[in-house]
Amino acid sequence: MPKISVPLGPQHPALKEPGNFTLLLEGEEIVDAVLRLGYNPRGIEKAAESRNFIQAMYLIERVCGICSHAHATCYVTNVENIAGLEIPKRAQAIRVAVGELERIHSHLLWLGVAAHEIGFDTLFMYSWRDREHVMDALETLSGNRVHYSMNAIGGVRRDIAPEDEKNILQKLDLLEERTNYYIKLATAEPTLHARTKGVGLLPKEEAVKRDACGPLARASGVARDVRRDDPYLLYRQLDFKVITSDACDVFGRLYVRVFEILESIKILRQVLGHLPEGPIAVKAPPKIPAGEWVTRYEAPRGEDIHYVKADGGPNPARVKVRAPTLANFESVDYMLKGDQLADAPLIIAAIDPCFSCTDRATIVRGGGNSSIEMLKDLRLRAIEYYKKKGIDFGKIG
Amino acid sequence: MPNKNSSFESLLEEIITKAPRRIWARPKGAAYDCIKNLKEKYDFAHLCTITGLENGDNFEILYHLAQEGTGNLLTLRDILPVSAAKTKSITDLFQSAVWYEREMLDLLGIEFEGLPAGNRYPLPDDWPAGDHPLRKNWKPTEAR
Repeated sequence: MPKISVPLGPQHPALKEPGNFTLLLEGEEIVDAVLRLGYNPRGIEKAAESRNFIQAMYLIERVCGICSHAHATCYVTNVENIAGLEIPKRAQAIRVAVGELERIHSHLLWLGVAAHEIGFDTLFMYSWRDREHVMDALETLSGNRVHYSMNAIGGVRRDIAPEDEKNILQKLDLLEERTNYYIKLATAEPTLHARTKGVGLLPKEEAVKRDACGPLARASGVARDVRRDDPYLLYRQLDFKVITSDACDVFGRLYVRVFEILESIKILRQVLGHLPEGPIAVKAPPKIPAGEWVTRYEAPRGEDIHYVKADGGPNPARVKVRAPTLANFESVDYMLKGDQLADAPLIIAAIDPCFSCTDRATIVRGGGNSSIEMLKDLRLRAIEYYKKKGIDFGKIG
Repeated sequence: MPNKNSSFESLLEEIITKAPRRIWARPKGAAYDCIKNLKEKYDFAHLCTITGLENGDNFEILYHLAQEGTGNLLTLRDILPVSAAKTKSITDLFQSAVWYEREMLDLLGIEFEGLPAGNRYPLPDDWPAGDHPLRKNWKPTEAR
């Protein structure tokens, strides 16, 4: 049978962000897969070098729209260590609380996306409805739904009020009930099993060899979790389990993520209502001294690692961001091989890919002048542009 | 298994331990051999990432290696002159290094001997050769 090469992406209805997977098919079976990344370049690492340490923090937070707190915390921890700051316990607890709420929202978002790829849109709508409770909680804490901007160099920007703690703890009861429902669904629903079991296999030794991280690694039986292995913030004192599965397939990844939601709820109950007394930040020095640091952080998708170098000047000399998705892409071609074309979107979705995080590094040629233009003027310009090409939109309304 | 905590230090020089589990060092001899020994004998079996940076007349390549079980994160610093920016690829030791090495090739222009052929990352295919945006003297040009 002749082999056929099918491009999946960069623009494809099954992918939420741009990436290109060239799949070599023999019938319906994928025999080879070649990845091309780099469709979402924003030049954040370079841009950080021309901003001061505080501006760069807000910029780095925008590496990702889902795990924004993970990136900001990872960056700010580096800067604090270079400056020799020890941040107060209360600020650490607040960072943990936001981080775990972020994990719940990210996992519920993933559950919805995976359900949608499976064709189980009822589950997609249920899980995204429940995710709104977490988004509300994050909005209560930070004032924002996406970029929480909770961090400041030396601590956090906002305190948590006692009534908000109580309010969020109530929401957690509801979320726990819903998560238990999803667990029941995941373990009992035959259609879910049919679409996920044995799909996208990644054996344990391959996961280790390919440096997989986060839920992808844990679903292949690799018990790697930075929160336990290399504890930061308050994690050493908190009681939680590292969830693993030996299933090594998409079902295992589903299992790990839904049980991790329960663990995050457990962590939040140990933090909220028991916040250490004291200030929420220490004063940051006006000048960050020369130095370098590297920090690992367990983001919802896996290990996030940042490196910051300071040369004593107002701006960082180098900021390096390695988002978890880049580490996990090395496993994607292996998982695709031997599976059916119809399962490709699900297999790709099962690593919870975040292309924007991954492609943060490049620069689009640009810059120069910026201006504010009214919609009316833009419309006139568009009409002129098309008129030159022989199409006159001016006649239409 | 040798003592996980200290005996790997014989492979390193200029060791600085800035905080618990944060080790910074330079390799004794070639970086590739040092990384191979660290991986095979001392369980530094997880490559977190590789940072490339420009520092004056040199490029620095920082290999961030994590040790299984101890949480130790070793940052191994290899220094290359900008004028002869070529080193041995570690992709045969760590498969995931392929992304990080391609990234340094595109953004800084460091060449890696033994880096497998494949799509470039992360710059577009029509990006001019010899143009490396993360170099300190690189400035964005006006939009066309």
